[in-house]
Amino acid sequence: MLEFLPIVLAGLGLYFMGVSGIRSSLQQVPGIRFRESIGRASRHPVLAAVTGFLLGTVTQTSIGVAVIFAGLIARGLSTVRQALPVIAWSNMGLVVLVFLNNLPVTQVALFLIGFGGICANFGFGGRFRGLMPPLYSLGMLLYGLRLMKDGLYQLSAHPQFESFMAQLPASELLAFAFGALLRIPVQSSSAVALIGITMYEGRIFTEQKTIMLFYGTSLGTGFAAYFLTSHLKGEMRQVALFEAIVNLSAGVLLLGFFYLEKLGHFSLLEGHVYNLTGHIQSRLALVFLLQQSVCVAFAYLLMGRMSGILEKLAPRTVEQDLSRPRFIHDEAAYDIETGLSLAKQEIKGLVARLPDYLRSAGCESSGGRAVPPVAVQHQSFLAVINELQSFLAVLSDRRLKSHLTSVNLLQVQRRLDLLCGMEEATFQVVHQLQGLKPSPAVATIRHNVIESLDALLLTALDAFGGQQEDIAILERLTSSPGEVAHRLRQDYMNAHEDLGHEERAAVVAIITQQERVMWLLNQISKTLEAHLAPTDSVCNPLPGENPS
Amino acid sequence: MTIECESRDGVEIFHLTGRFDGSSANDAQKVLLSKADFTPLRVVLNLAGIEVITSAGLRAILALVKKVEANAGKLAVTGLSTSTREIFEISGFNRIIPLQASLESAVAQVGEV
Repeated sequence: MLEFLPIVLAGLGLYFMGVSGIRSSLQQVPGIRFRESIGRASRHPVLAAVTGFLLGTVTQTSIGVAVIFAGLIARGLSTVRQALPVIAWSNMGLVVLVFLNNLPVTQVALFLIGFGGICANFGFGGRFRGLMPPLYSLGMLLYGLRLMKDGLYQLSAHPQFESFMAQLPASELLAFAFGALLRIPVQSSSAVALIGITMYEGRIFTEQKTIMLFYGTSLGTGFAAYFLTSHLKGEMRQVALFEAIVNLSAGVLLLGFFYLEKLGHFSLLEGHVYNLTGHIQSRLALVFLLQQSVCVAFAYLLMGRMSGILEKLAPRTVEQDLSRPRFIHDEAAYDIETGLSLAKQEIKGLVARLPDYLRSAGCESSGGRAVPPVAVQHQSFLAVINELQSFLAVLSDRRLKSHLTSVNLLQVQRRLDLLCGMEEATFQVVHQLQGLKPSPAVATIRHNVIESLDALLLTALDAFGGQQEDIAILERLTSSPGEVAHRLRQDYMNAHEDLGHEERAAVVAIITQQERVMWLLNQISKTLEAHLAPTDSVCNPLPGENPS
Repeated sequence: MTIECESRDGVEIFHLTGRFDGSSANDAQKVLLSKADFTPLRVVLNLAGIEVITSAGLRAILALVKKVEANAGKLAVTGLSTSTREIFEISGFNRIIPLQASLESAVAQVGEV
């Protein structure tokens, strides 16, 4: 009786290696541009549907697509609203693999293993070289299914197995639960559906049980989406919860329909599918298509109503809020002047955040307002800087109309570079201050550095308002900071005998970073001043440009 | 925080006492700006009674500096403790306001024509 076992085991092994091979190969394909492209595609409803279908087809896991979009949302390349249709349609993409199973599997599998394996090994395939490993893995997956089918067929023909199966309760509900459970380790509904079809072909399952196994995968997808993404927070969690709710709802509805149809003896879903084709494998594939269509329908039904509920279930985190640019957006990059104006606003907004770094280090003027930890503020700041740098890079690729626009762009880029340095130095100051043990020996310098920097940053913010007198004051306050810093460093190195070595080193590092902030603020004041300076070149075109 | 005013040789002297921080800076700034409303605008801030000064206090002084400069007046600060002097130096305020060792020298500097 046990001759079948090595065949089923080999099939199962090839199948799982195929699934994991496809997944890991595809993880290496998406680069930054690929992610940006799918992020952009999600903004158009039809493109979003096509993208979702294709992503579902390629990855064969709708939860995987939800996780990809969670990452895009985190980077500000997509929003929850844009991601939901893509995730909805990724459920439909899973159907492709099940229909592919209707092809002559052994020949297709062997061809894919041979072609994909040779190309992957010798680096053939030109620009499609990256697709060869997943094709090879797909071949392994399909061949694994074929082996399992053969093994199970042998098993089912055995009289002892037949008598064993006869003793089991003929419950479709167990098949439903089996589908739900199997979905979690296998991580793909279509892969479980193929196992179901294989078990049907191996005469382990009846058609009804196979269908119930399919339906169970929806419930399993729902639970898997809920539990496997529990580490995600805020909007990233929202998209995963959406996928969970959609699949759980579809699973429960289809279960209800199944029993209504069975007990009521009337035709609902399966009855209609039954009338479409007499070919059993095609019929099962159509049932799976129907199941995934129910998921998509549910998704669209819930989409409009879900945003409030999702926000309640997984409220946006402070970090997500802070990581978003407030002013710049993709459309603004089409007009350089508007883009530059918004970029300046964004920079000013970023300057306004820096005093909160000091609040988290104990600056007294927080007014009782709670501020996020400085590490969170720092990461969020860098995320916005990243967006701003990409935005300015897009602007510089545009056709600059005049000399003034060119100068303006360069000034904004310079200001952004200085801001990056200033943020880094401020972060370092706060980081060092937080590391200092509270002791009377360092209490004065701690207080003085924090309060001085706060006053300077707020004065810088005034200067960003564009008033000449504010810019001039900032420039005077921050001119030649080296002298005071040098004296303070000497003071803390030579005097203050009550300080230990680590404290002394930390204080010296703090003074150095504070000096750096002063120098950078002074440079910023110069870029603000330069912006105010009258220029004769307002209407001068760039060389080779038409003035009109 | 309390502010006492005194006129000496045509110079208005503000004696500040207490904590010059977020809880008092707004009111202090209003008082300073309203009282510094004469011509020629010559002001001395005596901070000898100040226990602690924070960024809010510095910003209130900055508002006074702006007003004085806008009116082509003069301003000096005196009575700084070691800690207050350090905060003035670190923040660069010593570059926009003369720091004087004594009240007399501050009045003399501001009173110069």
